[in-house]
Amino acid sequence: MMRIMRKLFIIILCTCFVAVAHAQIVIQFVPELQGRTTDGLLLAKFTNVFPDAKTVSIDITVTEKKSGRVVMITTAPFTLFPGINNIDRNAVSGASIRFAENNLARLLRQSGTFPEGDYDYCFQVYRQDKTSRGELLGEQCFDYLVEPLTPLFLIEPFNKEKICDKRPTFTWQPSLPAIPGSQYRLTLAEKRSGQVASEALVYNLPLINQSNILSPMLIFPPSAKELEEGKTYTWQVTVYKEGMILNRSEIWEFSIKCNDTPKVEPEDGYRNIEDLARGNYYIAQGKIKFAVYNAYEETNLQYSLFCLNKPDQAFKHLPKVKLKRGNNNIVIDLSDNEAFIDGYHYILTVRLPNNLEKKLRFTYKSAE
Amino acid sequence: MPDKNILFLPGKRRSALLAFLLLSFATALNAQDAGNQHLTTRDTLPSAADGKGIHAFIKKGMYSNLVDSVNKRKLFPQGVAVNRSRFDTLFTSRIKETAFSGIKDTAMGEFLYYVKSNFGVDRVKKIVKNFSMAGDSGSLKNFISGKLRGFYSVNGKESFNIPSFDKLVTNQFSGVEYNIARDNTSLAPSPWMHQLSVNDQVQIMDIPFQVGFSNLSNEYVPLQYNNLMKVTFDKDGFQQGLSQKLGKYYNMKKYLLADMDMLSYVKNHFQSELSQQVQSISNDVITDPNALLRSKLSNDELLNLDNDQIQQKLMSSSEVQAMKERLQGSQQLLTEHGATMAAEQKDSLLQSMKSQSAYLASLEQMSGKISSLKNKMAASGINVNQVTRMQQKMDATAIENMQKPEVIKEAAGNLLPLNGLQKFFTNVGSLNAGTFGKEGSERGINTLLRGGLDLMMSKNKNAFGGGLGQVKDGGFLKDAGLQNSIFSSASFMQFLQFGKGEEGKNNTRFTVINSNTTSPNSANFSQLALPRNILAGTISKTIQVRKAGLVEAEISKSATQYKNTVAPDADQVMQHKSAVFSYTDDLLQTLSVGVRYTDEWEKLGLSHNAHISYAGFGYTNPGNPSAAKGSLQYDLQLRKQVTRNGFVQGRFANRSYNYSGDGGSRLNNMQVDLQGRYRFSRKLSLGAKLNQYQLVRKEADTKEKMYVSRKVSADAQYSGRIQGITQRTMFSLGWQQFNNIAVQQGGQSDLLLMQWVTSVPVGSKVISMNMFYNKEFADHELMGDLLTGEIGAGYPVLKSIMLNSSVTYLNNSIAARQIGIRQSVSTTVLKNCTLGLFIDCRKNLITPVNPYLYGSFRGELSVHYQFK
Repeated sequence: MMRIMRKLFIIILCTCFVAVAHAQIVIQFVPELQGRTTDGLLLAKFTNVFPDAKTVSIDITVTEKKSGRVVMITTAPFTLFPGINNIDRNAVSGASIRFAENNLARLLRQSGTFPEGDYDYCFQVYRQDKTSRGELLGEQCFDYLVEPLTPLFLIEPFNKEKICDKRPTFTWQPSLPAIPGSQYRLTLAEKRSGQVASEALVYNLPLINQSNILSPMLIFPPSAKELEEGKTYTWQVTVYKEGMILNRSEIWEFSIKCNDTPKVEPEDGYRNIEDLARGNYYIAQGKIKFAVYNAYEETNLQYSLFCLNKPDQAFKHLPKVKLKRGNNNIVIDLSDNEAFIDGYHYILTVRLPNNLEKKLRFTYKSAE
Repeated sequence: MPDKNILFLPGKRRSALLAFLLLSFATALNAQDAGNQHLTTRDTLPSAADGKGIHAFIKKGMYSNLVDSVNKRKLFPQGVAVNRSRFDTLFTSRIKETAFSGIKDTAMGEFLYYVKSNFGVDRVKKIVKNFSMAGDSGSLKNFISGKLRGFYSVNGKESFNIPSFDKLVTNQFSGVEYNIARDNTSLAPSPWMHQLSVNDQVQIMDIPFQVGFSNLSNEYVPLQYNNLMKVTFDKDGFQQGLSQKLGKYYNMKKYLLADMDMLSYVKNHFQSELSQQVQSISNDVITDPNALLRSKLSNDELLNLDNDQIQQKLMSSSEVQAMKERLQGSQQLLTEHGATMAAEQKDSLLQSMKSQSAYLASLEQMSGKISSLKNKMAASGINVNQVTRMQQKMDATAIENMQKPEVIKEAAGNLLPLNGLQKFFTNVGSLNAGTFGKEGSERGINTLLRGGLDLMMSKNKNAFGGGLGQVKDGGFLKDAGLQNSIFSSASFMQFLQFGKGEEGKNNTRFTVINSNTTSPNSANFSQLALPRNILAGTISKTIQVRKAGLVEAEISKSATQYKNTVAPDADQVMQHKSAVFSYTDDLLQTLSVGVRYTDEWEKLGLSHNAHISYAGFGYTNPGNPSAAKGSLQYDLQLRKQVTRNGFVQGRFANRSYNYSGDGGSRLNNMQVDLQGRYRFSRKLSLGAKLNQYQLVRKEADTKEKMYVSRKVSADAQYSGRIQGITQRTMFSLGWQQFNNIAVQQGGQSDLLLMQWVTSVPVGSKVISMNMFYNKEFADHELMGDLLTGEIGAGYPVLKSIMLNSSVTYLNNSIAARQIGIRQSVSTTVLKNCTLGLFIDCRKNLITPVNPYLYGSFRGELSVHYQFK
């Protein structure tokens, strides 16, 4: 496929050069890249084969087959040295621009982007005297059927999505129309606290900065370090060709979060039920935890619950809790039980094997 | 206790007031409005339905309580005398005109000392004078009452000399981090990458600023070209500092007048009312009915028991029955033997009967009085449980209010001697300098600014601010090898924003962005741009609907004006104009409008996000290079929570792009996305996803599919025991289909994707296995059949070193086959230093076809030193 693309590129490049050429000044212009914006026109390169430097000014005229002339740019005078030259920056800042009176020109003036059309790009290089414009040193025209590039939409992982996959596959909508030889670059970086997405990509070391991607998909690079749970990452895709950025996607972010990640329970999170029963404020984060001493035989813990906010609430499917002999660290997991509502107050009544009753009032908070 | 006598009002008024007060607290316990610095019951106690006079009573009650409390308190045993200085005379005379006229001289002396030492004589004098000259007696009263509330809530003597700030400048390094990464994949943009980052917190007069520095470099981007620095005002930190300072010097609960013991007050009130009522039944039989009542029932019992229970306690039905029987017996005796009875005996019997009847009647009357009072309170919604709940709610609301930024801001302005700079920063919403990103609305500013400054202020619900900075599309380390861009022009941008209302609530914002293109030229990135001025004006309006809904509407118009524009039919260069002069040109093509409606129905567990927008082809927002242009789009997202354990979500987006001058050619992009997840238990959850993305080109008569991507996937996460072994597994299976019509070969592909990740904890070690398999069905394979596998273990060594070692294998049927090892090490040394090392080494078993995708070495070293 690479070979085919290369061939295509060479054919297109050759087509561009097939135009009226003046021997002394050769103009290199790739309309499929540079012919898309007004600024792109200025990226043409000029080869001066004269033995000496020439002071020149350049007229760039763009004409559309149906609408006629669209725009004409005249650069300020600048020096063209023997060899390959870019247009001088000062010549660009001093350039004058003339838009035609048609719809295409109006759109171009506002957006800087050429709408769809069959364009002719003509470059005329004039020798520039101190006071006036001299003879034509070189002239070359190129034509190209412009189709503006579609926005580069990211597809997956979706913006602000939480995923569990630590080596996710990235997909996006290709930039169309396809420009032979164009490739994608995907950049992924961690987004740290206090950063916005655009900062994360430039302040942090990229975890993935994969270039030369041909298809609109990237399987997580095998040698890259896997992503870490709890962290947020930002990613962006860029289309480029020959070192020129053609299009960029928005910057999206996603987090790694698995639903079933077991949390490490602190071993010291158990208070004696006597202490808890004396206090009147206990917050149960999805579960009630307490320590109790049982001097009797192993049995099931007998307990019941009462909702203060909803006194008629019935509690079903309460977990069975074993009470072994000696010290017990009891966990009553309520997180899967829909009878418990975040912020509601409940009373747990525990009947110990010695028939003593302990009441624990608590506020339920969702575990998540 | 002064607190118990906050509202000392007699009779019915007090009952009504009490009922109102409690109900008000139950419905809306608000703190003092941040914007009002005066002592008012308006915000604490919402408007009364039962009379205008109530507010006055409450106010009077609160003032009396406050005055009473400060009069009783003596912080300086030796006393602080009121002298005859002009300030003291002026301030005292002003106070005498207010509701605080009851302040005693000793308290007044302390109060004046508090005001003078904390806020300065000259400053306060100036404020008082200004109010007096303006004839603004209301503001003057507010000022004085604010200071008095502060004086009322001081924690002790140290609150009489509060410093403006602790230190002029303090500097606290947060940490230094150095990272180096090496990737030998061919054509990698940066085979070697280095990063040095420093984080720091600087406080100037207790105003905190976060300073972040990062230098990223590689062999192409030398050190000096990639120094990025950001200075950010730490608003949360500043608020926290103010809050801590307020807590150190003041009792904020008292300042917010939320220090009332409601239950005691209710009990006192009930007791007092009952005492009056019961005393009225005093007679010869029961001379002290209150004493009788107290002997039979405690106050708590009177409040908690119902009427029948109270009646039983006063006199049980058996006692009543016995008394009635005795009366009946006496009556019978009198009827049968009255005529023969001695006069004295008869009189005694009659007297006894009368006493017993009167006692019975009195008890019934007493019971009736108690019932009546309890019924009256119940009718007003007052009972002990409710009052307890209200007290809890009031306490919780007070705590909540104490954390509200607007309350902290108001209290800090009133209670702390802030200097001009500190006062200025209490109104700063955000301040950034250096290289920083902005995330605003779609038509606002969403870009990275270099060498920029941005300041947003908010005062009295008005927001205003602005900023400036360079916008450049490339030149960062991530762009290594990309020398120029036609995606967006570089520019120097300035913006102004102003409006009313708070973010996330009803608000209006006007944003004006002005930008002039530039032609940056650095060693790694250069751009040329025709000089032009771009102006974009945006009006954003947010309206709150229902409880959680927001409607955000935005309209934006841009205009572009090139420098040195020549008229089409003339040779003369027109005078350079700013885009502001051509702002109304090409209205529809330079307009962008959008409406978004987000809402949530909590009871249904449903939320949605609906959006529609239009943007003309010529719309250019220099603040957001990715802003849509030439598009008409609508999208909808619905999410339904299924019980607490699952959700289903649907997303639909349709975007139509005009890319021709006459609007005849369009690209239509449609996306459908469905997903759901359900957690069956804490151990198992299942999820599924369907995603379709397609792009269609539409001409006047034709319709051509350009690109289609479909993916269906399902996954399961299970953490629990399998055959007695605790493990955690994630398994996913998916089908992905691509059809990139524009690409003749390799554009169509069907992929079967499978992933399996399992980890098994064994003591302090974790054994893990990771496998990814992709099977491709296509004539011309795009990805190839790919199998990657990793098996390894994580284990601690020498307590502080955590190692993770694994073996990797990769086989791509068309491109590569590798085997390798992966090793990571993380440890903490010298208490504050964390070291991390990651190495992935692979041996190529065949020469990779696409070597740029299959490197054989990647190494990363990270050193992080945390300052404490």
